[in-house]
Amino acid sequence: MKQTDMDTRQKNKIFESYYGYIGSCHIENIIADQDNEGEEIKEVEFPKNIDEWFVKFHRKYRRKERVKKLNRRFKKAGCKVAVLLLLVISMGTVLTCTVEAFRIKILNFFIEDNKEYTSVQVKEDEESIPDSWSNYYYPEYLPQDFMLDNSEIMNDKKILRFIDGDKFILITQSPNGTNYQMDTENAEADKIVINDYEGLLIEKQENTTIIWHNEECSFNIISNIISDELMKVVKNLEKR
Amino acid sequence: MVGFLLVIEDENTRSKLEELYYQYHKEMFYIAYNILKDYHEAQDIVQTAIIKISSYMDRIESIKCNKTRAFLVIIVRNISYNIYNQRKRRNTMPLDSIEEIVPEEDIGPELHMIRLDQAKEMARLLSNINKTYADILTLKYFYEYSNSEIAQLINMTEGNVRVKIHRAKQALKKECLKEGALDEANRYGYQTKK
Repeated sequence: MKQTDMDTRQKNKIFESYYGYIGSCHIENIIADQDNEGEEIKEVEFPKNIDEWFVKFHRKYRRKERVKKLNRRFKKAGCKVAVLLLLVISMGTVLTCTVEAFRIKILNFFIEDNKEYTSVQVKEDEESIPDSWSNYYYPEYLPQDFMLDNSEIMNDKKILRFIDGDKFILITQSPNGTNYQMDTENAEADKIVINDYEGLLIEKQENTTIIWHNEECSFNIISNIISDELMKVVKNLEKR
Repeated sequence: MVGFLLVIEDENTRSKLEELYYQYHKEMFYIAYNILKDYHEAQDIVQTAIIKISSYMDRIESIKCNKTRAFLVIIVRNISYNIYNQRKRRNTMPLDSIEEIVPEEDIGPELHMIRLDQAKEMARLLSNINKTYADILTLKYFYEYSNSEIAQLINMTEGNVRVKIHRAKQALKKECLKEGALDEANRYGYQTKK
């Protein structure tokens, strides 16, 4: 910076201070003038409707100020929340990369791609049907919160067990001709029709059993849920 | 808890504006009425001044002090002058032509002008020449408002504020020279601008 520029800036600063000082003297003069008119000011007839206006204006002013303050607070809090979120994400990333147990938990976030959207859903460790299975029936409808707990093959029987807490649905399917033995002592048995095929619904104590067959398979379904819900499950068995 | 604190804080702000109004409303009305001699216009001026000042409440530290009192006097009387001028159609010179007469560069700072012992007299002289000059100079350099803030406070354009500050400085310089400050300056060996 040139010396002359520095000099000019310094002089400007001095003059600004001087003008400020003149302003301060001007204020003293104003106050002196006003004090001279003190008595007349006291005697002035002040219109009351300005007071009424002021009360209304003040109410609006307070409301605006409150909104401004809230906005300022939200902005401040928003910054803090963003920093906190960033910290949590950073820590989560580091933990996922370094701790195996944590990584497994995180990877349980199952990502499912669809044509129109991607859905992310947290799932518990659900059993899945082995790849080797084919030509089996699987319920397309299940009561809410039921999930596959176990799937196994015993001889030529395929068994699927679905659970929701202490509720269960056990579906056994096998080629026609398989013999099923039922405990019908003190039980109520009714004939039912499922998808145009005749079947038998047996209710004993808390359990309901449905036995029926189509042209390929015989089914034995046992559950402790209400029979109407169980019927829906049975009617929606689809071949896979 | 946050809501409670918010209410308390808001109560403080409310009382500040209320305190200001009830402390000075008569004086504000008196100043406006003295200039305009019109009861209804004076009412309007008080309302306008309160609305304008309410935007700058955070700059007002204390209510019962000369600084705040003089600030209100300056705002009220300058809004009143503007209304008065509009009414009398005195201020007929368009802004463009006013700006034309202002040179590009500001008045060069000249040390010979500074006489601290005469500052009070200088302020009085400037006020006698034109109260608005003294008021705007005070708003700018004592209260430290920007040109746009001053313009908003006293219902003036920013260009007009700039012109008035320039003229205030010119008037001060003239008065200084008239009052013999030049001779003083020469005596102390300061160079003067010709």
